[in-house]
Amino acid sequence: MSQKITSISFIPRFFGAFGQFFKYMGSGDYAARCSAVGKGEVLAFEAEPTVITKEIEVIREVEVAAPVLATVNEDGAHQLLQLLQHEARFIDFIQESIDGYDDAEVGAAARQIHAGCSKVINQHFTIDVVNTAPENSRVEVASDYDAKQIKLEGRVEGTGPYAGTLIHPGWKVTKTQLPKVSSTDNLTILAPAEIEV
Amino acid sequence: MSDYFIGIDLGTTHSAVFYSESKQENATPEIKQLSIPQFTAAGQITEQPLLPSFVYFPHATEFLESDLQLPWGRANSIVGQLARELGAKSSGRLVQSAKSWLCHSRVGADEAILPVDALEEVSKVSPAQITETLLSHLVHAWTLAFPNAPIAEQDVVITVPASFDPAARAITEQAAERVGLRARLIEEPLAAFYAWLADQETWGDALHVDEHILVVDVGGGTTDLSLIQAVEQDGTLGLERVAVGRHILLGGDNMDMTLTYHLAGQLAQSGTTLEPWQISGLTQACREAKERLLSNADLSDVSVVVPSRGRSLFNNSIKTTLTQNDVQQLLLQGFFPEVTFGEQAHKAPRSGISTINLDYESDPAITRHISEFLAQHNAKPTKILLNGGVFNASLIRSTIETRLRAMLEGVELTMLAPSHLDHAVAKGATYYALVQAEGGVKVKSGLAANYYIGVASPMPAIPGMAPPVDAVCVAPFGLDEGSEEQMLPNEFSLVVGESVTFRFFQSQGNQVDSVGKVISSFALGQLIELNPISIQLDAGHYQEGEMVRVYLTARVTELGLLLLQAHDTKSDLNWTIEFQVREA
Repeated sequence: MSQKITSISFIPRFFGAFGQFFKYMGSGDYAARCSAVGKGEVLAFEAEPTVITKEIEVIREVEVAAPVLATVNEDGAHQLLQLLQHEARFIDFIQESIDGYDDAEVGAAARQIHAGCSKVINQHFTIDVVNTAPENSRVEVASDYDAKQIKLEGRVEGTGPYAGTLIHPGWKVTKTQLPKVSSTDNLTILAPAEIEV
Repeated sequence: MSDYFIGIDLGTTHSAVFYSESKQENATPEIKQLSIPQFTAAGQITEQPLLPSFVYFPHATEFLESDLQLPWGRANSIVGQLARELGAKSSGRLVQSAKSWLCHSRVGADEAILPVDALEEVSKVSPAQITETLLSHLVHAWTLAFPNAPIAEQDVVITVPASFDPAARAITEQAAERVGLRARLIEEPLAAFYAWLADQETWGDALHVDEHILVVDVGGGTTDLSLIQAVEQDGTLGLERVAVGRHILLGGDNMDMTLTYHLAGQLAQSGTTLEPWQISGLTQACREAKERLLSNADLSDVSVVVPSRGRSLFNNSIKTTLTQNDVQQLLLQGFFPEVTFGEQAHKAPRSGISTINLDYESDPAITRHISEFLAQHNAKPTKILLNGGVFNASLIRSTIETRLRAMLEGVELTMLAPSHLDHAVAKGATYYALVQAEGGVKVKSGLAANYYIGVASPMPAIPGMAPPVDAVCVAPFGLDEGSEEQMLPNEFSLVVGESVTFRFFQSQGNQVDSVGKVISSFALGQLIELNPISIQLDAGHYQEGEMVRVYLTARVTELGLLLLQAHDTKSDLNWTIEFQVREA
């Protein structure tokens, strides 16, 4: 407690009494306070705090997460588009209508775009097949196969193991090495406007 | 003891770093390549195996502050892939081929001259500074990958062209020192040879005493030739590098340019004039077309397209075709024509005044340069080792083989299987660092020429004639690094405390002169004069301008630098004259 009532010695008490007389006489409010103290009331800072205990029932509703669809990071997608535009002018190609050009022209451009795209893919990803067996060969699939890695098609029934023809070996990324960016701001700018001065 | 052996290939167009761990259990050390983070677009950093040796000085507003952050801090200039791309689009801000400037005969390496076409607001830098910038980028890349193995504590070897003169070596060495490297230098063709050695289990079986091995290293911008001889050393087979070629500014880039100008000429005839940016696009397209044509002889032609810079890939794009016939005619005939032994490279008549730039070779025939080199050293090699990306094309490989066989008639020629055409130099440098530390077969190299110092001989005054200068051999051909000091038999007078000029000469052939041999002033024409150096030697207790009696010693330091020392005959004073200050 910060404040304390300390006893006053006789001399200051003797002279103080005169002051108190006039103060008591002059203020009704003060007189009322003095008589309250005289009756044994304690000042607020002298009183012991009382602890009030009360039980409150809290009902918290825990939401059981319903499976929500996750959104993949857009930055990565923007970065890949940037790379494809930079190396292969991919966006230029897709944004332009090719209806007016003959196959030879489109073919010549496709060669360039192919070279650029494959450079991007090979440089930043290591891609491997999921199933190493040759295409159209007979393969066995265990009963507890991973549905992400293998897609059974055709007459799928029973509990397996399954046997079938490998139609497509699948692709998987085994290593990703995308360029590091110093800031993810403005990744939506796939290519800046070029102005020659 | 260092943890790693590091080989740095500081190339004219690309740099690469290879390394191997020093403490290895198995006998064949594994040599790995360091990926080098570099800008590939504004604010995008990609790790790539090669660092293009290009430096670009961007305009103040060209990049946001956040786009210039490298993993090790802010970049003041852009180094690598992005620099090359930007330089193709904007002029006056790009420095390339800085390495070739280091041994320019008329421009000092410390002279701020690059970029040659600099814009007014771009402050020019010296070739030495560019070398330092490139090295510093590589050092940062190392530190990032191996924070616990400071590069200063590792065994580092940097490759330099065999044709680098002592001054160019000293500058490379000093640039390395400034970025905290204590590096040895090794000649590139020799490094390629070490890479071959590293692959051999018993190299002794492949070589015989007294046979010569020719190393042909065709880089992007330079061709470097070296001759290695197998010799008998105390009953076992040893190796000695006996000759190196001069600095030939001719390489793979010339081949791409040849095709570009050929197509540009064709287009001009049909009325299409190309703009500068289209030329660089065309060069790129030609390089790809060339690679396809050379790797597949059945292909009769390949279309070359230079797309417009606008968004349309079809409108305004320039299309032409490069035929198999063109490529074979232009490249194989142009660069690898049939030659006879001893044929000299052609010297084109030069125009009286030209801009200060690199002294590009006027004769593109690599085979002719080889024949000139071999004839000069009168050697008929029996083994050939090729190096450089140019030889990835089997057609070029087989052509040079055919030409060399025809030229060296009657010699049974074997083509050695190169370790790796693109990476052999850095790999060899790493292997060399390993051999230095742990032992193994070494190729004795040492100085590639005799070096002479100019000494004024006394003469009574004759009006209009300067006192003649004789050349005294101070360091003979083949003087090995770290070898004993060579002392000149005579004493000389040395001027101290006053600025004086020293003249240096280098011999052309590989005839070994003895130390102290005097080439009289009348025969100086047979020597190549190097850049003179102008220095003031500390006078010590002597009067300024006093002549002091000294004896001279020369040695090649551990790091492969030629060091000349003058010792006072009467006191302990020493003066060192280094090949470091160069004046244009």
